[in-house]
Amino acid sequence: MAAGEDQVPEEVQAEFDQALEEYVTEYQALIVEHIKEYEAVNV
Amino acid sequence: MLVWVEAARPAPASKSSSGVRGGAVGKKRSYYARTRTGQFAYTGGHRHAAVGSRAPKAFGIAPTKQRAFTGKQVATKITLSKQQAGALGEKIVVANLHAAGFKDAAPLNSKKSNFPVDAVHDHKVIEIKTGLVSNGKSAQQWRATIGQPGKKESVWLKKASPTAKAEWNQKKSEKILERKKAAVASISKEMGLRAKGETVAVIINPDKRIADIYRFSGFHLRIAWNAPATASAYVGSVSYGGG
Repeated sequence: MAAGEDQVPEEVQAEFDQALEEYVTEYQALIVEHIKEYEAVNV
Repeated sequence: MLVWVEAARPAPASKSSSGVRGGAVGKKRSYYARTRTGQFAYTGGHRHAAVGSRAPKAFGIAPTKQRAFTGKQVATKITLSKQQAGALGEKIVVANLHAAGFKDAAPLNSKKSNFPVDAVHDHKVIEIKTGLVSNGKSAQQWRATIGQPGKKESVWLKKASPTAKAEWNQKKSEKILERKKAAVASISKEMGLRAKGETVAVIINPDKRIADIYRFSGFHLRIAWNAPATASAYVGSVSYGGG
């Protein structure tokens, strides 16, 4: 295998970074939504 | 009912002293019910459930003194894929939280299938980890979820060396964990509260339909089943049915 193939290509890194950002954005929104609903009932 | 360290904060919709009967967050709908046999049944259908998904059949758990995992690999007749095991672990953990009185507990169903699935209750974010008793010795651990690779990543992985793949997957695990911790911290800061991360891990014997449940503070890259900290994190075991 050529040495270059062991380097993570930029497009692979970019694909992961974008997916991670989308995940974290959704993750935060779902948590905040839950906490707000919880506090509306319980606090 | 299994005993959790913290005090349950039952929603006002239910005044039951047992903390496990009736009610729902905001009185919108009920996600749980007692079965005739006294089992606690999670009926699904939370607002975070995927749009268009079918509500699962009633899923019941009951405490048991039996253990799913006794320290050695067990060959099981019933085999579960990683996805099936993960989905079952999620049901068990959420049902157990409900049984413990945390009636608002619900899975955070992300549209992203290649990232960890968590649950939330109160101000707590829970990462759910699942393992099977059929895991070989080297796989007797819970590891950070990195899921299915992206399209471009899949192409590269076919050409990459085992070392490069391992390094990349490790880097992904660390990055996901770091961002999750940062996300929870950010929520705490913005909302002026103390949101916490927690890991609840299960080991399942699908033949016996028993799951051992463990609870750890924070999020983790790897937790070995035989680690001393794991023994002290043991919460209890449950039998499960339905689903």
